[in-house]
Amino acid sequence: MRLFIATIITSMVTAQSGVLIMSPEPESTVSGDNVLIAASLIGVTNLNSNSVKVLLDGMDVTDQAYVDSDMISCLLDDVEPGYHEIGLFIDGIPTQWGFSAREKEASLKYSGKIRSSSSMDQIDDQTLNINKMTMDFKGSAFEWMTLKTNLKMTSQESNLYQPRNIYGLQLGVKDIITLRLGDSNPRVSHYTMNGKRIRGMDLDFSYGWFNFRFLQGEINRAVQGDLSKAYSFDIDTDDYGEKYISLDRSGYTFTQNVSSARISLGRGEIFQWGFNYMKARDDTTSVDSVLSDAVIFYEANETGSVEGLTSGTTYTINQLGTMAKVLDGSDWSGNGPKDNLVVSTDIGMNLFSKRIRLDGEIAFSMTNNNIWGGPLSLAELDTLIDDSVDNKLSSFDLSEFSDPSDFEKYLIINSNLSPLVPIDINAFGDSSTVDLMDAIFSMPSLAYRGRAITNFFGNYLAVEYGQTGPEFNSLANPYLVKNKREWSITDKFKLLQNRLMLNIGYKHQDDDILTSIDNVKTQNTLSFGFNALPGPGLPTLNFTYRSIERNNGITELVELPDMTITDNREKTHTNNLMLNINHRFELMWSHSLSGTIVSVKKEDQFAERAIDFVDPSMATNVINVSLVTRYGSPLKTSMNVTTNSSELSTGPGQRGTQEFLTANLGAEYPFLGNKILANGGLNYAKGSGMVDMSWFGVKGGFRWRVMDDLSLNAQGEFRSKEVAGDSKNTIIARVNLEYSF
Amino acid sequence: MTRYIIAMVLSTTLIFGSSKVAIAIKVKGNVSVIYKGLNSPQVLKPGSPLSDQDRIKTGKNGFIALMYLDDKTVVKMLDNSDLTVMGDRSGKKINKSLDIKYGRVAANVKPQIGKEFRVSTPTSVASVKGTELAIESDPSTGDSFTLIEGLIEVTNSITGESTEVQEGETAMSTPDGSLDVAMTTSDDLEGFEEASVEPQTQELRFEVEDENGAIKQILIKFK
Repeated sequence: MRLFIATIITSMVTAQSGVLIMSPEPESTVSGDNVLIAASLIGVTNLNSNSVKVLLDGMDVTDQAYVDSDMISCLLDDVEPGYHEIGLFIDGIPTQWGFSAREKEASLKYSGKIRSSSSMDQIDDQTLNINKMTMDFKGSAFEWMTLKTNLKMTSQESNLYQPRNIYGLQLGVKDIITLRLGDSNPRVSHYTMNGKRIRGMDLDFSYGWFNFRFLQGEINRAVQGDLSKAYSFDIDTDDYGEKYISLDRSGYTFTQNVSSARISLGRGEIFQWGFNYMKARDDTTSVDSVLSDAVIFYEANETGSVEGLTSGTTYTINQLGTMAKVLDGSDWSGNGPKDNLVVSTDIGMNLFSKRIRLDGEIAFSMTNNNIWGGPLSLAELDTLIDDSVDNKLSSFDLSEFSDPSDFEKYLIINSNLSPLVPIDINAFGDSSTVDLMDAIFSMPSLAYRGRAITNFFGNYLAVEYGQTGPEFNSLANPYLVKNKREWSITDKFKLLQNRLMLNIGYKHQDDDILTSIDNVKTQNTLSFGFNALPGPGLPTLNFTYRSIERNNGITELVELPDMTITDNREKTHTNNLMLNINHRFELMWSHSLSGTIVSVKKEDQFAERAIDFVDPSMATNVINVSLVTRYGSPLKTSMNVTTNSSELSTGPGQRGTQEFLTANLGAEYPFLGNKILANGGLNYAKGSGMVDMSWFGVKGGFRWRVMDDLSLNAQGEFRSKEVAGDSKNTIIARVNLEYSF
Repeated sequence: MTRYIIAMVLSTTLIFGSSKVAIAIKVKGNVSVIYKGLNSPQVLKPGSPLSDQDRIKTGKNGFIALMYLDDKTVVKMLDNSDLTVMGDRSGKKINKSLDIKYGRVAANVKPQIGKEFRVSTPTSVASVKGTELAIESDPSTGDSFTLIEGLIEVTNSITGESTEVQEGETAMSTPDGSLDVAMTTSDDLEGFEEASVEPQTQELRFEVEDENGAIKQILIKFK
């Protein structure tokens, strides 16, 4: 037999004829529904496109193909299941390959990841050990059903805190229904619910332009508290003159139930309008008033002693028996149970293929900070708000109003409601003294925001305005900054095919925005920067400048009744500069060199200050240089040196300086064909000035890909620290094992 | 009828005579293209050629995989996305870049010897040498760059801050100027299931001829 090697081809390299096979991949298996035969011909010289012929299993299909000097493509419907051969002939020279066609896509797909990790942090005298295991699973079936889990179990889980374990399950039916059970972080709208974890149920329904979402669950679970800190006590006397222990409950958290709904119209691609509702209430029955095993340390005091108890002894509540009485919940010194209602509406639009984006939301809240005792009657409310004339509140006849207890299901109205009167009542009636629109947009529990973004000709312009009243509150969105008004305008230009980017922006912020506040704190920030990316082989340059003015509106010194003078004036100007140069270059090896300079200088704008005034002025200069080198071998090293020099106030009439130097050296090296990536490093720091300190650390570890789907990662660090002559050590160790399927 | 539409689309591109840089190898659902020099969108079909500055948009449930003609670099666009394909032909090579307006894009970029593969969004610019990555971009919230394999450098266009992103990491770049890198979580790749990018299979192919003159092949695949 005559044998010879005709051709050696890799899939990355064109065949002898310069043909690059693109589809289907040689010897691949593809769906027979639509088979695309495609090849790139840009590597073929002197191509005569009329000479091109395409054959499938010997049958000429050239008349169904598109052929030009760059490529050939031929889309074939319903190719029979089985093995097929393609022949591509150019000037009679063949390029041949084969593929298999299958009937249809597999209907069941799944993947997942299991990760186990342990860490030990010993910092000074404190040691923290944490073990965690996470399991994520994703699957789909029949192209219409999806399943996803999110499970995490950690040794940090404790009934003294909110849950640290996560149990989440998500089921989906096409894009129509998504049901989340267990833990999730829903985002309903910016103001109502925006990422805080809840435990319960979240149903999302979307069909065409109609969308509906409903959530129900717990924001907080009940925490009874540490048994040694659950009670404080006083010695009290009952109606019969007997002394007893009066127990005050603290250190607890109520179960906080939440329900929320959103109805929205529009798919969101071009337009969507939504209405949102969020209701959260603490369950007053979820915290036990009597914890039998809780303890107090009993000591007689100046109010007397309780007969039968020994001073200086620890007693459980059970042991105290009838000698102790727990206060009513309304008298507990711990946090009062809350009730909260938020309604909002939002709108969003995308115009001109998303080149213009408009969106905004307005939200209103009512919060009761202590619902012990339930709602007030209408008469009690009248007295509470305005007791000058019965049944009248400003120009309103209260007899036409329903009793507040009628709304108990939605909101408990009593003296702890915030705000008690949501709008300035002087805006109503014939003799109104306040403009109604002003009154509405100044409501203390109102929040609103609007934003417009345009993106034309490489110019990205954004204008935003937002205000959050001081009494706006959403228990499902507790991280929202309140009592703030701000607007901003930013513009980014892209020039020279995105190689030069300029940006400029201005932002104005007001704090303490109530109209009754005389001196509003303001901050104005002007920023400018550019980013130059000239191209491969050339350094990139980044520059940012920010000018920040802060002013609390107070211009005069205040003389106190004791004739002393207090200076609450705040007016500062801060210049913030950042320059960064980054360059990749080849010098024996491949390097990435980066240098950064940051300068921050804050100056007090008032010249005349008392000698013992705490000066807000400060200056900081940071210089950083880093070099990352990749050697001809797989070795990679990194070096980093940073100096930080600061000068600031250390107390009334005093100033100090602090110098800081840090240096890091690190290396990475892969072994066994990247199966193991080992790393190690040294770090050193020295500080002098207000605080003298230094540390030296060494770290190391590896990531081992045991199998394609199984990897082990272990890292450790030891650091020896000396602060003011006192030496302490830090040890950090982490290991995790990950399996994917 | 389908072939008639394809023929029309292909004819249109021929009229404008642009050099082709890529081909649509897989198309599902609602996918349209605005060819450079034309204003109206046309339905994009598998096998359609793509030229420099052709703009592709996917609607709900839309998906397209395109492949560059010089080195088989693959770009996959998921639903509700908008990108402009860019490629500058230089001999038998193509200098490639993508301009993503918004949406989700996955790419398997072959090593670009002496060149870079640039990905720009309203918020960021990424320099890619050869890698597999997933990008999610929204002009109002920012971008995420998830590295499945290789190395890229991401620059936040607002601050100019740059960072390297390695395998198993995700960079988040936002319009307020922040740029953070964290270990990739399953959430980072949520929505990219359709674009599951496999490592490319390398091949060695030997053709042998028996004594009767029949040619047979020995194919060795490896990753």
